[in-house]
Amino acid sequence: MNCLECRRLTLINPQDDNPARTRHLRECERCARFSEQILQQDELIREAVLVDVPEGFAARILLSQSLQPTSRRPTRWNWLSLAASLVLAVTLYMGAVLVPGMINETFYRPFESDLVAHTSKHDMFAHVSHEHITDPEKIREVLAVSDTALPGELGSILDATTCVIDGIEMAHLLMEKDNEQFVVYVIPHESIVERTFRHSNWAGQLVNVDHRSLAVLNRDGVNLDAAASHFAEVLSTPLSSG
Amino acid sequence: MSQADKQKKYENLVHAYSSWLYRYAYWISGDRSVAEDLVQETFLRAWRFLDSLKEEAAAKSWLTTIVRRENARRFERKQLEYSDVEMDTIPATQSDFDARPEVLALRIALKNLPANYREPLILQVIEGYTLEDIAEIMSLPRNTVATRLHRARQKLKQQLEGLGDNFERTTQP
Repeated sequence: MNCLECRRLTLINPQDDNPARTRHLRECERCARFSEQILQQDELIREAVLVDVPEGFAARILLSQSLQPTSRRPTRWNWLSLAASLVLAVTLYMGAVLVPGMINETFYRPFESDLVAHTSKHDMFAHVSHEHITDPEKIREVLAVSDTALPGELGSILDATTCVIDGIEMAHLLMEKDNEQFVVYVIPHESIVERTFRHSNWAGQLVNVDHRSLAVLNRDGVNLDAAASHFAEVLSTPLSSG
Repeated sequence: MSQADKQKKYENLVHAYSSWLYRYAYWISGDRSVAEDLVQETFLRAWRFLDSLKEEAAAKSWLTTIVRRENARRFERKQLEYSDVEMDTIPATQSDFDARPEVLALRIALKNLPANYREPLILQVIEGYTLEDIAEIMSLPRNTVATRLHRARQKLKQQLEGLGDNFERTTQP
């Protein structure tokens, strides 16, 4: 085992008793020191996350359970809730039929707003020339964040960086298809409702790709469908499958 | 299962796991009162479905998974985003937290960690869950959990080194 592999295993679990790792730690002083640092860090985490539990907490839980009705007869509130749910369902159904896009606008605005806000703030179009970046290692590192393998067709990736949106670290790419440029986010390990959206001069499409999702955005919405399908194919291989 | 047996089993679960679940709920919700509500809801749900728990050994993972789902439901109900949630202000004076500088620095670093890295780390470090357990609780592939743990520890280390540098710079005469 080399130092790189030893450190990788240490960062995944410093208590791992893999024999090859243990042997390497005996032989390599620097890795042994690194492992010791990570073990100390874990010890500090144990101390840092300790939060006092409210007094009598278990008793309160047992009390609230004992106050639960044994059989659940519908109350007036239940009937009112049911009626309200029905009205809402009918309204949304009508809205979806009569006003296309209403459901998207109502339910998904927060995540899409975050995507668009981030896209506007870090406008990749403004900084990138038409020359393709040629450092596959950089692209590989960026895509690894989103559990995505390096595609064979690197030419369509013009720029690559990572970002955190909604608490999720993901790959943030500028890609090209048929001389049109698109901002693409590869959202790791998420399964979303596939949809298109328009928000603040941006058009976007969200699609699922083998345990991940892609958000593809451009300004005018031209060729968005074709681009989303193409990029979904280019970025189709998850890293964790290898 | 008789009602008395069910009650006994339930009480054992509450006494055994309520503290762990509260701490876990606190670190995924960032708020003490929300954590309390999440655990209360979790145990009420557990009471309703206690008959479906066949193996006592699986109880802790089962309850942890319910806490996660209750937390997710909270986001659905309120249309909140994870980014809207702020952890409690990092307390330096509250007596119920360890206020040693190195522990405080680590609390800040943990708070700054993206939620999807913080969660598996807490499950592993505090409760000693295996990669497979965490993968099941979080409904993720095992390799993904490994990647997140790797990155979580790496980022914490980098942040702590950064904090250390800043601390040294600001304290030098």
